[in-house]
Amino acid sequence: MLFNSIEFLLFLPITFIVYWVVFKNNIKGQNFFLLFASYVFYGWWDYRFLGLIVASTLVDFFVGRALGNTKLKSNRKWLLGLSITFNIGLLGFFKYYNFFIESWIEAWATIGVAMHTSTLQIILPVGISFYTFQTLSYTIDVYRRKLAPTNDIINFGVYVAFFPQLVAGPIERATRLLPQFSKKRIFDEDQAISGIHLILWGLFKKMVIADSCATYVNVIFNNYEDMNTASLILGAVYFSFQIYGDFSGYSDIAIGTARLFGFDLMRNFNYPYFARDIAEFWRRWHISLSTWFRDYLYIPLGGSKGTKVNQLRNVFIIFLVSGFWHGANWTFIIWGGVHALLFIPLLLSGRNRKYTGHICEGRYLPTLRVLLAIILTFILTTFAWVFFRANSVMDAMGYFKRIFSTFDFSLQYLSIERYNVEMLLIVSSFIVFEWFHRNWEHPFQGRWKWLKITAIAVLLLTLGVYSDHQEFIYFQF
Amino acid sequence: MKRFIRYLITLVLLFVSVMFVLDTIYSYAFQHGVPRSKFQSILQLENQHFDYAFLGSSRTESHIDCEIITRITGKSCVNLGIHAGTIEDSYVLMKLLISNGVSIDNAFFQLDDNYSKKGLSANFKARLLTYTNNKTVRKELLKDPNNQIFRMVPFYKYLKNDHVIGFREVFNTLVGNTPKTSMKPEIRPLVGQSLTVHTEFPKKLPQSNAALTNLKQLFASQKSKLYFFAAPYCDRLKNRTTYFSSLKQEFPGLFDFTTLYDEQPSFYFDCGHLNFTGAKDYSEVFAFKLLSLGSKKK
Repeated sequence: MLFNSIEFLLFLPITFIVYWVVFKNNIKGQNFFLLFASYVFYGWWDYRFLGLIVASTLVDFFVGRALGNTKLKSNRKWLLGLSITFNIGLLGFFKYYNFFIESWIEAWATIGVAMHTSTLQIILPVGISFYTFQTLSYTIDVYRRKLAPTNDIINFGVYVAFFPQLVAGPIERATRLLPQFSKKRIFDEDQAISGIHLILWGLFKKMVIADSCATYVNVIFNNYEDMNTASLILGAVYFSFQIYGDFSGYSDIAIGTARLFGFDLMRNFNYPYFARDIAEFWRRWHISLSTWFRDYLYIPLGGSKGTKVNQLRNVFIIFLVSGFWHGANWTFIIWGGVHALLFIPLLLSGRNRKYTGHICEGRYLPTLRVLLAIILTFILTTFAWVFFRANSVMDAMGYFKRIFSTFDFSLQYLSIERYNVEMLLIVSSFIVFEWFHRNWEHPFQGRWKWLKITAIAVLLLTLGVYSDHQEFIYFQF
Repeated sequence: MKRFIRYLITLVLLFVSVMFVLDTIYSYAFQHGVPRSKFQSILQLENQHFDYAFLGSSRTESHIDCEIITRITGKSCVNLGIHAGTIEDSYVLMKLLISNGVSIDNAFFQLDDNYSKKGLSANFKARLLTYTNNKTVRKELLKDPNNQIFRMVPFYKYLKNDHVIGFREVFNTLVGNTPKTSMKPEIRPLVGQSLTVHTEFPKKLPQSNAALTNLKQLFASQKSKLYFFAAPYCDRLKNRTTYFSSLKQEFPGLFDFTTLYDEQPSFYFDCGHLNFTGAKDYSEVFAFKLLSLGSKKK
């Protein structure tokens, strides 16, 4: 069920009341109930895929226990290999089987060889990219002896299936989340209220920013051949905000919901469009995924140690795999490749860790230099987003070709009965609002808290998209 | 927990209050602002009499030029066709017009594949919801128990139909922006020429349509005459002949114009609609039909 749906509006309070009232002070009861609620939440999408998540849970639970009981290195490697093979195999089959078959057929077709292999009608289980990575982090950390394996299958089951973050992250680490299920939860009013604030802010980003931008993005990208330069550029900008509002909105709702139950999830977005270079962008965007790849792929490959050639190789592998993780399409791989190309100059010049602190700390407005750096980084990421959004590589190339061939910056009336610039006021206001709250987790703090809440309530009700609401983008991953 | 519950209640009350205020503003804007839909324009008709009224969907809205009808027949005419309108839409519209003091001598209802459609069309219903303070509207809407929620929850109707009666529409209404195309109860001409087919008739005619029965009874109670007609369709349309043969059996007095322009494809905007040139010719044909109707009565 979607977070912005009537079903979730009913599901959440019922789950909350049962959790805190019926199972009060009963950790086992609370965990068991959360597991049940999480399976109901997931099964609401498609009950047939519950078996997959249960299978992934059982495999990694028993692999973890076996790792704890085995000291022999070869056995431990074998067990880790089993977990990796199972989870990546699951992901590979459901997500990439048809992609590989179709790419294989296309590759042979380019040299005139016709292949007669058929693809399967495979439905992608929601959240599979997220929970497989989450369970893998557990087995890898147990293998590395960073974490003791758990003997409590219910706790582990909840860790894997915890409904706030099950379908689109944040991808939690076992070292961080699993121990929370073993601790007694005492209702913390401040934590719960901050959870409500995050949910409200997440809903605003999703329903007002993301879904409104989506209306323009869909018509512009699907009809790019009829669009002028201004519309195409705006389409790319709107998509940048659509995906940001959609994904960071979901993460905020997930984190806020988890807080209602006494859990602390990791922050997943930290105002990425205020990044001053690409390296900083990746420290602010989808933090749970980028750190996962850093810890479980980049560092084991050697990271930034070793020769320059090795460093470049590692960067390319990480970004290409990250792109591929997002979807079974060459567009995502190219998107990852573009980011690799943008990142490499920073790495080679040793400037990839130049910006690690707060942006313009102590300043109200950015300096001109910082502003230009932010704008340039935004332009580069928006350029890459075109590949991410386009239906195919040909469409992406066609999109760019059209931008540079028409040079028509006039107002364009779109088939959705709106002008191309209409969304700019909302997007610009949103950017300014976020800038002045860039050091806060959410804007509902401080003196004007209730005024802001009222304003967001008005905006959510008037500008939110209800009749034509879009599914969260990252559900397709 | 108490502080959290109090906080939640405050938040819910805040949202409900905002919804009440917004509902009042939106409703006032739609009922008193510049009409931006055919529905709103039609509802502004009060205490008027028309000799001829044409009801139906876009095949009435874009086909009947009342200026031509009036010029040829010398009678007053009004085009009450609404894009994507259903029979139920026309029935409710007529009820509202009657309550506004509008009287009609002869009504002509366009009958075709709308015979198989039930209920209110989505856009018409959305527009109707902005008038829930109107007794007639409330009575019609509440025939469907699913519509109770629109009465009970303030502003919910605007959320559910934001693509029709959302913020953009309210904003444009409040600042007095008139839409690009005329929303007056007159012809809405179509420009262009093609024979593209967008629909298909079912093989079998549905058994009945309750809204049509209600419409007949409504006109009978007003002592107005109700006639049915079928607008032109191009000959590419699948099952056209069989469907309208069945319809004519069900409605023997049906004015059948379906094959009128089989030899004139240039009159079509698409297979189900005439362009302005075709509509003008069609209006003339219809007007002469009305004249012959009038002379038969004598």
